Amino acid sequence: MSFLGNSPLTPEQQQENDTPVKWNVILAVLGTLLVYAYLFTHIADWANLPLPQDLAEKIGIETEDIFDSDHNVDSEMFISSTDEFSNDDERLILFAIVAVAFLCSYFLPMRFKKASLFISFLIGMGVLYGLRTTTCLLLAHWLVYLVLHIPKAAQKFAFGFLAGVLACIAFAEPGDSWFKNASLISAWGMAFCLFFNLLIWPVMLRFAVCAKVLRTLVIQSALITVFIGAIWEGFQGEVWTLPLGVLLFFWHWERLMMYHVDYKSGRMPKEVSPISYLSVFLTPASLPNWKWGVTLGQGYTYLENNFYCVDKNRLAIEGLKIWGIALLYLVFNDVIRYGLVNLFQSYGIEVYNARITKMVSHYVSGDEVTTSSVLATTVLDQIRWMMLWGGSVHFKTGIWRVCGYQMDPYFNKPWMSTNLVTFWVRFTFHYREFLVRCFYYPTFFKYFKNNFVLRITLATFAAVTIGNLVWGHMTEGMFYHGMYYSNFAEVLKTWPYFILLTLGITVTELYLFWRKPKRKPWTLDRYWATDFFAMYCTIQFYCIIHVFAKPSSGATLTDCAKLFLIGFGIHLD
Amino acid sequence: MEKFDKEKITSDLKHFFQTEFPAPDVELTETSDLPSLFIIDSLRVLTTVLHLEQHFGISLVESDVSAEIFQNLDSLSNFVLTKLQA
Repeated sequence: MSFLGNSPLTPEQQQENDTPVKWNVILAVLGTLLVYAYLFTHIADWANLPLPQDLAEKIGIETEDIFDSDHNVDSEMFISSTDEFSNDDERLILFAIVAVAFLCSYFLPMRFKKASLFISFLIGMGVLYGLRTTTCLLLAHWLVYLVLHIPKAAQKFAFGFLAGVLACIAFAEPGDSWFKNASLISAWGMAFCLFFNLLIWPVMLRFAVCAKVLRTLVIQSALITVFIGAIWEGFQGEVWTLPLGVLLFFWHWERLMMYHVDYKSGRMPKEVSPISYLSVFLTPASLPNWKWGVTLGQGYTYLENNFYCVDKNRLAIEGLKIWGIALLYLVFNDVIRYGLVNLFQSYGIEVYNARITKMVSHYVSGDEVTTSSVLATTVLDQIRWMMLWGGSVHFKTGIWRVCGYQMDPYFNKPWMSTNLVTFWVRFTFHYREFLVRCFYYPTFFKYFKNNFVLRITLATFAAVTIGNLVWGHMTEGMFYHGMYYSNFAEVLKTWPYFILLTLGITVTELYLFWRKPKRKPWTLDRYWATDFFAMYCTIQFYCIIHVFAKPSSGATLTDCAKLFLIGFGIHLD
Repeated sequence: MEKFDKEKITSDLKHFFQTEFPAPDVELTETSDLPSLFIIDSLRVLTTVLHLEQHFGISLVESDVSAEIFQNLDSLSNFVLTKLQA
């Protein structure tokens, strides 16, 4: 798909792409899910089939670093923050839900397809996380919906009441009789109904500024909460713990921002049905590795323009292809990682198990680190990270695709990049879209319209330093490690990484503007070697600046800077 | 100031795309799909935006950067014409 995405589709075009049933496609999708279930769950044991490890040994596949103690594949695909079931059982539930979602989306009429994805999600979420967490997440999104899309007069009572019902289920302690519970639900329902009907909506409709502020507050609620929480902890020493449903909702903050950008730009209708809103965020693709690839799917417009934009059978086949790639990552991730580590070590280059943090801590403790070690470790660390994420985010992309969305992959052959601008497009595509749409474009179209260099520099700085640091890494760091002031300070210490990345991308942008490339990269002509050289320099630059992004505890900025310079052959010790 | 009509805008834009993003194998017509053939990355979007602003003297806002407007030469020249007339 192109950079600008697809043009808006008409319902007739979408209907045309809801093409006749192809049983071979359906069987292929279900068969692939069965393969996943065989490899990553206990299904083989239950069905008295040969276990994956035994089968692999029989056919002579090297089994070290692939299988775990129960003889199936040790996978990085999991359901985050819940322990209702074992990892294997959680994965089995996930695959079953994906199969149901696919069949519903494939067979149901167009008007029910999105609703079926949302309902499949709710069932999966309910089983995996329980009623309270599911309701809490639903409540958070419902409140955002009510603030962004003020309902029509006839719906106001019911929609406000529903918010109260959800809040009651999520937070109130249940009574010991049905009468008490019914009274409790009615009371919460009425309270929320009155709150919205008498206060929130009238104020929003009367004062445009209040409406704008309130919308921004709900969209930025994640960021506001973590910052206040961290500062509170810094002063008072008390750590806020959020209900799991709220935390899971907060992980949607980047996509909420993109939804808000669509909302403000007028590219989406002001009246959006609850199902249309909820199916943007709550689909089975959210379930695996909730905290990984959180920008996948982007906002309203991207999804709307990609839903049934081509033949559904073609979309399902594209989904199968990416599931194939995901499978390779999930199964062989560790084999490739340890293979590369051993390869470098056999040449006498220490690569610290492909971990930058380990290299930094060795350096801080006084060990000598060579230039080749810095160069190799930083690259291998990124390969490790990409392969770790690749399996799960490609599987998520596949879910979107088999369910009817032409979803771009999160990683799109980043090793083909010959400069930092194309690398930025190919590496973590959806996250980059978030930075471009929420920070780059607003700055580019507003400031320094008469000064080309300043215009590009400021826009890149807004996206790569400010957006990436504050809305990306800092907020994420708090969600991962808790709302401690020390976490906030720890992420701030990584500022040189963001500045260096900004500088690199800005210089590349300006260079490419002034010196137009005359040939297409990777053309097999006499300059092909320069493509390899440009590719290596691009990737190495991106990797080596991670010395500043992944410091180990005890490392100072000076230590990181010295290691960074060692990468260029400059030893200051 | 130079006068622009639809035909002139289309011809200027055609010249811009052919010289700025040379693609010898592609025949650029009024209905050729620009996003998939020419404006394939963010840098090309910015180059095109800068050209529209500098050459035609119009000012673009963020929401103008969409597949709908940049779809083909026809939609893009209609957009430029509307901006010039506004």
